Parts: sequence; structure tokens; C-alpha cells
Amino acid sequence: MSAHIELNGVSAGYDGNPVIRDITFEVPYGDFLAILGPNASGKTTLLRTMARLLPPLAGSIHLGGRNLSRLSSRKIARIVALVPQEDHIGFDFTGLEIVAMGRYPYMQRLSPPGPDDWQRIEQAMRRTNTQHLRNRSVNAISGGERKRILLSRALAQEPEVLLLDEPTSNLDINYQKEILSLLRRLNDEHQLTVVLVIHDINLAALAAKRVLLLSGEGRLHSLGETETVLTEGALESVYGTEVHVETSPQTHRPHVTFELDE
Amino acid sequence: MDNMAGIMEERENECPGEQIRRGRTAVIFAGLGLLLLAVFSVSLLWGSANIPWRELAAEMGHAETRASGRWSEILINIRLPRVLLAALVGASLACAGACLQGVFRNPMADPYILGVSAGGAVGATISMAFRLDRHLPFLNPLTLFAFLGSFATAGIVYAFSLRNGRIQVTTLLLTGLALSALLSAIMSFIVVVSVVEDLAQTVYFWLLGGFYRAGWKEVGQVLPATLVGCLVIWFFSRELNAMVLGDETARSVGVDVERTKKWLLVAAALACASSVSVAGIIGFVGLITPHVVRLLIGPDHRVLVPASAIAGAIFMMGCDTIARSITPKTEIPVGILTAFLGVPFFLYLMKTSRNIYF
Repeated sequence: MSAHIELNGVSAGYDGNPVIRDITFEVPYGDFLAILGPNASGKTTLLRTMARLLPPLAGSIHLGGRNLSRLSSRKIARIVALVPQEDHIGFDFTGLEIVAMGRYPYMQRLSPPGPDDWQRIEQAMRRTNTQHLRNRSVNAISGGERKRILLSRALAQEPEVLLLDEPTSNLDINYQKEILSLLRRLNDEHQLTVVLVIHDINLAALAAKRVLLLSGEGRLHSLGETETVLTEGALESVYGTEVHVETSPQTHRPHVTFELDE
Repeated sequence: MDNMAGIMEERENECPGEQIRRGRTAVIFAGLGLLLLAVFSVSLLWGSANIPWRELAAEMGHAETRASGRWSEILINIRLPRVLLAALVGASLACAGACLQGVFRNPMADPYILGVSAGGAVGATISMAFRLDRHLPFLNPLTLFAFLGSFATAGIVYAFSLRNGRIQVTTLLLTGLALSALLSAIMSFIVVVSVVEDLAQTVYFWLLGGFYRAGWKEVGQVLPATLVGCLVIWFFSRELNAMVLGDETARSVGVDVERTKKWLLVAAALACASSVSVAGIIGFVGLITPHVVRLLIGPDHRVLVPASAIAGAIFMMGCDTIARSITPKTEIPVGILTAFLGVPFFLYLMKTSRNIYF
């Protein structure tokens, strides 16, 4: 089977200045890919480009074999869902109202959600375990709960690909565990292709099947199985600091530690 | 099959909550409708001359006095257009306010605070100063110029408060403040250099805002723009909902954010400019109304926009009734009254909502 997402020589950035340069890689169907890299290496820019929120300055992106730039934004929204890092919601929408917004690409103007829409909304809320937040204001619930509601909204789009920008930022370990376990389950049970940008290397190592490492100049440094990419040499060259990588005896995943400067 | 049964069961569990919410919405709309009728009736009868409804009914009962009787004359040619105009202006400003609050993702946005109303007044002043009404017979030039002024202001405020794809609230409010100062200076400048005789008086009227110039001509002037503006805003209510989650999210669910924003700014400017061209600058209606309605009915723009229109009409008719009956002999411009109510409300919002919105 061909690749689910395919980037070919993609450069992208703002006001004509590229942040990521000449990126080429493939994401196979059912992948769980973590994008890692130092600050300002273009992780979010890469994710935004994959969601076509940002048109590439050069190169092409194919989604299931179709050129992304030829698809309408509604069409893309039925295949790719994005959970941005920002979770500020200006007004007191209820959990249900937020999740229902995920049905936008399927609904006609001014018509209320139909039975199929409600069923998808329910399903999305059940999968993220957020049914009890249905009538609660999204500004009156915890950060972890709000993240789960926003994830529900993305799932209500019935996507094949889920893109997430720092889904665990500002969350304590309890919620981090909850969100990442949920993503793993969606990936395992529902064959959802998951691509996430994440800061914490150890969380990436725990959750992801594969890792993409961006270098400081916005170029692709390495891509592959978590164990093969997360080596001391690779991390030191990308982050410019000394680290130790060992295999955790509990999780059997790579675990990165470092010592403080004297 | 188990899965299906689960879904069916959940559907049943889910329905009551949905019904309660819809029932509540219906009750609120019915309540607003009744209040609208009540305030409309009171506004018709109260004023500098209180119309005695018994005598009015007697006049209406006779064919020869129906159109020419003393009270029916006041009712039909003075009171009725004025009350209708207040209702239309209130609805326009409330819709424009709801729209701007959605586009700017902030409950403190309002056509007055952002300078959109002042922009409309400058446009109207320019058309007066150059006597452009004589050159454009088919289109009301006053409304057109007010619209251009409002739209330009809304566009400038938007462009200045956008940083890296996000609206900066402090920049938004400060840009509105700075532009309002500039626009009122432009108005004063035009008044000073213009040779048009009664321009100063007209500009003074626009600055204070009121309905004492109301007639059927003004109703006809404001009606189409109000209807178009409010309907366009309502048309985009699902997009407004999605945009409240941020431009990024809105685009990722398939909303064409840039196009939507253009339409919405045009619609808000149109609704606001039509109000300014007949009633001058009336502040804070667009701030208070959507906010209170949101507390009652929730933030979903599909119901928020029409409910705000009704509530704005009620609020404006009520304020105008008070403005023309509170003092004997003379009446106070309604803009003064709305400022008395609106400024404390604005300060209250600023004090309480900082944690959420800044």
C-alpha cells in the first residue's frame, strides 16, 4: 500500500522565509509518528503545512495519493483533523457544542445536525470518555478535560489522520498519561494515523512507533523506529548538549536523561 | 450488534438533555417576543405627549378621524416611525456587536468601542460636507459613505490587532481608542473648514446619537441595510462558532476563514453604518446586548444572533422611550443614556473577565 502522507522536498515558512527546508518523508497508514526537534526547528510549521493551514513554498504533499493543494478545505477536513496547541475558547460553549463543531465539513449551511451527525458526536465523546462534560462549560473544566473535548471535536470529523500540536503541554503526568494512552488506543483499535509534535523526548519514546527528528535549521535529521533514531549521537548533534540514552527497565523504551552543568 | 445497541441506548440518554436545551431556547424566544410587543406598545403610547389609548381607540373607530385625528396623527406620523427606527437601529447594533465579538473572539468588542461607528459618522459627514446627495440620485449617498467609513475602520482595526494569526486584545482596544480620537478630529476638521451651513448641528447630532430626526424616510433608509447586514451575519453563524475556537481550528474543520471574515466585517459595517446614518453614534448597545443574551441562551451564534437582534430592538426602544419622557419639555439624546448604562458595564467586564480573555 502506498504512503498515507507523502512530503516531497517541502519548504514552508512565513512571509516567504522558509522555516523548514527541503523535507521529504512518508507516513505509512496506521503510523504513530512523533515529530521532535529543538525550539524553533519548525515542528509546528511542519505540522501546519501537513494540515494545509500553511501552503508550502516549495515541494508537494500527497494525502492518500492525492495532491493536497488540489483538495478543497472541506474535503481535507474530512480526512485530516488537527488539534492545535492553543486551547483558549473565548466563550462559554458546552462540551457538546464544541464536539458538534467537528461536523462542520459534513453539514449544510443553517441545517441542524442530523441523526448520523449526533451518532458520530456521541461516538467521539465515548471514545474520549467525555460524555459527562456534555453540558459543562469548556471554561469551567480542567485543562486535561478540555484537551479531551478538543480531541473529541477532531474525532467527530471522522478523520483518517490525526495531527496534534503538543497535546500534553501544560498537563500534569496524570493527564499526559491519559491523553497518550487514548491516542495509542485510537491508533491501535481504529487504525487512525497519528502525527504529533511533542517537546518531551521521553513521552515521545513512550507513545510513538516512529520518530522524526528535525535539526535546528529546519531540516530533517533522521526518521525511523523510535529505538534507532533516539541515540545519544543524534540527540547531541540536534540539541547541542550532552545526554544519556538508556532503555528503561520498566517500559523497555529509550529513556533520555542529562546532568546539570557544574 | 452490541455496539449498535450501545449507540441506540446512548441516543436515548442523550435526547432529553437536547430537548431541555431546545425547550429552554424556545421559551427564551417566546419571552423575548412578548417583551418586544410590550415595549413596542408602551413606546408608542409614552412620550412628551402620552397618548390616551381610549381616545385613540375612539378616533380609530371612526373612518373620518382614523388618519387625521389628533392622536392618530401623532401615532402614525411621529411615534410609529420613531419606535420602528429605534427597533431597527437596536437590532443592527446588537447584531454588529455579536458579529464583532465573534470575529475578534472577545466579549468587549463593540462597534462604538472599536471606532466602527465613528468611522461611519465621518463617512456621513464627508458626504454632507461635499453635498454628495445631489449627485447620486439612485443610491442613498449618506448610507453609502457611512458604510465606507465603517468598513475602512473595521478593516484597519482588524489588520492592526492581528499578530501572528492571533488577535491581541490590548492592541484591539487601543487601536479602537486611537482611531476614535482620530476620527472625531477629522469630523471637527471638516466642520471647521466646510461651507455647508447646518453641518455643525448635524455632526453634533451624530456625535450624541438619538432618534428625534426620525421619520418614515429614515425607516426606509435603514431597513434594507439592517436586513441584509443581520441576515449575512446569521448566515455565517456556524463559521462564527468555529472561529471562536481560533482561526487554526476553524480552518482545520474546513472554514474558509479569510473569506468569512471579509463577509462578516462587511455585514457588521453595513449594519452599523445604516444605524449611524439615521441615528448617529449610539454606543454600548452592541456590547451589552449580545453579552446578556449569551448568558441567557448560550454562545451558539445560530440562536445568539437572532436573539440579540430582538433584544437589541427591545433595549433600544426602551432607552429611547426613557430618553424622550424622562425630562419635561426637552429630550436627552439616547446615546447619553446608553453610555450611562454601558460604561459601568464595560468596566465590570474588564474587571471580571481578565483571567479568561487576556
